[in-house]
Amino acid sequence: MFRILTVAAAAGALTLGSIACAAPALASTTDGSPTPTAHSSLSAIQQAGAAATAKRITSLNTGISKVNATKTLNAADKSTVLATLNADLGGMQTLQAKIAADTTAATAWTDYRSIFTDYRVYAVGLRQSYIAAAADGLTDTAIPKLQAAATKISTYFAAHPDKVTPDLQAKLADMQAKTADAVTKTTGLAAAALAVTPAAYNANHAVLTDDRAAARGALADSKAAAQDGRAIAAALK
Amino acid sequence: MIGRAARLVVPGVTLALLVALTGCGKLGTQPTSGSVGAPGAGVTATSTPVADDSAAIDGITQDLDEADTANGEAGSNADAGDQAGATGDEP
Repeated sequence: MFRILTVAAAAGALTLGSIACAAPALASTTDGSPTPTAHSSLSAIQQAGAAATAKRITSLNTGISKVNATKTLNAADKSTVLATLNADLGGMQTLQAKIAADTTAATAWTDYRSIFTDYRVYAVGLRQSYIAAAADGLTDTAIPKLQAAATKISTYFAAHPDKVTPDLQAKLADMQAKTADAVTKTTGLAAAALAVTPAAYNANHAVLTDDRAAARGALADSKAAAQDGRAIAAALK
Repeated sequence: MIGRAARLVVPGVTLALLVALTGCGKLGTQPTSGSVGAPGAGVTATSTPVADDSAAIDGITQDLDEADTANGEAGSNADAGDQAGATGDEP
């Protein structure tokens, strides 16, 4: 039962970013040093395990609070993320206690590895949740507003043909095309990102690469469409 | 008698025709619309479209403001996702 969709962040460093409208700081890239190995002592593994689970527990608690407060994720995705976050939190707490109580290095090492391979808090959970939040924000707000603006501009052009220049017509066409591209790229994106599992990541470390690229591409399209709209509105004033 | 009556009737008929043709004898009559120079004429014809134009552009701007806000949030989330992906998650 290690289906993990974890929204977590490096304790005290990585946050849920604009899910809570706050810029996240860069996370540390390790779980402490020295990193234990299969040949490390029981106490060394336990120490590293305690640090790694504590880091993720703190991140998960922070993430749960922020997801509860966000309006970026739609209701269905928020429910999915929160269910997973709470499951992951329970899993981390269980591992934390188990590693501390382990009596052999071999068992502790197995449990320590489980923190990573069965959860992938940062590589999968956090990352997929951010992608979903970005996709939902575009799908539910940015794109509909751009479509509404384009419709109003078209109506204005029809009523004031004397104000329509070839340049403005071209900008409106580009705005509509960029918005349509954003729709294409975000369709099903949040669901696809949230469907990625730690097991899928273990099999293919690039499993979220396409989703990440789609989110970035859609964002670029949406920004370009907004810029077109701004230019048109400025010209009409 | 006939000559005296004619002197009175002809100006009277002329005045009556003038009043009838110009409409100046109608009590309470006001220009309705389109009378150049009439008080109020043209105000309605020009102010409403201007107000409508302003409202239309304001509506477009408001939509774009909300799109920009959402784009900003999406950008922050995309950045955070990249940072998470760059975080070490290997045993």
